[in-house]
Amino acid sequence: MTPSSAADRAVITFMNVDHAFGDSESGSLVPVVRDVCLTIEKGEFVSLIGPSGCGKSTLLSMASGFLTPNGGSVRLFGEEPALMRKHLGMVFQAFSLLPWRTVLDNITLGLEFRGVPKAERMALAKDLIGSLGLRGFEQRFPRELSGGMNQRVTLARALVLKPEILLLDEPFGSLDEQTRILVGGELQKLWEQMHPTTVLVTHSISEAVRLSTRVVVLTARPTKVKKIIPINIEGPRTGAAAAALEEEIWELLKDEATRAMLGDAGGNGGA
Amino acid sequence: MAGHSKPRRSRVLLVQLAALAALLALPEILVRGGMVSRFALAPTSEIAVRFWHLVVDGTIIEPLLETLLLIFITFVIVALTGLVIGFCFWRSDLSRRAFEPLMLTFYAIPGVIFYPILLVILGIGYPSIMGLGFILGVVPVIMGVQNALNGVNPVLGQTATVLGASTVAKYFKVILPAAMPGIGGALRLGFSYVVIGIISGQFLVSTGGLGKLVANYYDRFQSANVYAAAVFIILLAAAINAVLERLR
Repeated sequence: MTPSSAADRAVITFMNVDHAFGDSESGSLVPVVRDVCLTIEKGEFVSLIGPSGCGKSTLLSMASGFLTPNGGSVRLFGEEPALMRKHLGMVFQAFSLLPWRTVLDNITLGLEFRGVPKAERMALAKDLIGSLGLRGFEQRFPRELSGGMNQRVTLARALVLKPEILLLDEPFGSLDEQTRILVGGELQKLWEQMHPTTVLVTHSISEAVRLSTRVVVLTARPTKVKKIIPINIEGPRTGAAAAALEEEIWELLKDEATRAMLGDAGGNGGA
Repeated sequence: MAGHSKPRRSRVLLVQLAALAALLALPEILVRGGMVSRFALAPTSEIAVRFWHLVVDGTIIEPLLETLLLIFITFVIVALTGLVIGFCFWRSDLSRRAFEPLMLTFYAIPGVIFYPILLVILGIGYPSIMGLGFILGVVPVIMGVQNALNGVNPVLGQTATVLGASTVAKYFKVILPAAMPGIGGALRLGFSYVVIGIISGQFLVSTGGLGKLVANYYDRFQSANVYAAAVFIILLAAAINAVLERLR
């Protein structure tokens, strides 16, 4: 691979990214991200995994342009993220459907904002409604659906825009284990069809191994990249190879999780 | 508290009816029994008769329409001002920090003390009456609108931005509808304060409306009429409140 071809394929780049929260005037700054360097190439599915509160979601906020890092830079296709949002699809863990709109109206919200005519909106939504098992629920309201179905609606709302980049901030965090496996499977099928460059923030090691092409293990706060693990398993990721990778990731994560839990993560995180 | 079961609906209704019956019987007993002067209180039966005449002979119509018109105009001004200022406070941290303590202090001040100032500035008439309604009504609307907008999950705004919403679409199609339950509550509270302000203003300045009607009867020591008009105002306020609750 030549340096120029790698640069051509780079969709999301974090270059020496530093960030701290708090008030610099009162000296109560908490460093959250330290010197993160990461390049995500076109069509990859990358999971960010790290201890709770380490700054995974902070990195995603930077990639979506809602947060500007104190140091270094984040780029989407080489540009400022805030200027490239038209290429983005995003799913949050928090409930983000509009409760006064039906399932169909929620799914087509982004198309409506982008001025797509109603007939076209309906046609674009139709396929995804089928793929995500939402047929028959188009005229229901979010309060009438289960948590898993609501997250599928959120996923459909992001994917109907055919985004080149998909950012997923713990999208299945509030779901039970069985539902998250099923919804994750549906996401994987759609990703294989559409191939958006995807970044998933998750706490689940098995989910990261099941869905990703690479897993980025992050250190406790202030977070940096501890190790990047490529997932090169053909076929279903449920066998011994997947278990070995999960074990490897847990070995890397265990110390970080312990440090985060004990609260002595300050200053010198990670290898 | 744990272990306390919810009382049955029929029992609650029974207690409410008993309280109402006692309330209605009390003036009758106190006045007829000579315990309270007829200048201070009227027997319930007399109040009921005066109430009936007030409604049937049309005495109430003109003051009622005048009061409702003033309430309506003042409320529209209060709602628009409250929405705009509440929105600005929510958007601007500086203005919120600067004015919020003043607004909160305002809550603790009896609004009627502004009335002499309003009379001097706006003169005797509709403007000063509406001014009192405005002063009482606008603060709860500002604070309520700001709180309602603060309560909207920031993820909704971020979602709208990522989905490609313009700033106007983000506010009108996502943020404001999401804040609507809280804004509705604020408007309802503001409306109640406007009703209080307008009727109090009419009572004080006696130029017209339901407030003047009560003041006239009061000046002539017609206690049964005072209470009949007061009952009418109470029923009016309850009806408006019920309509607003339905709308919400």
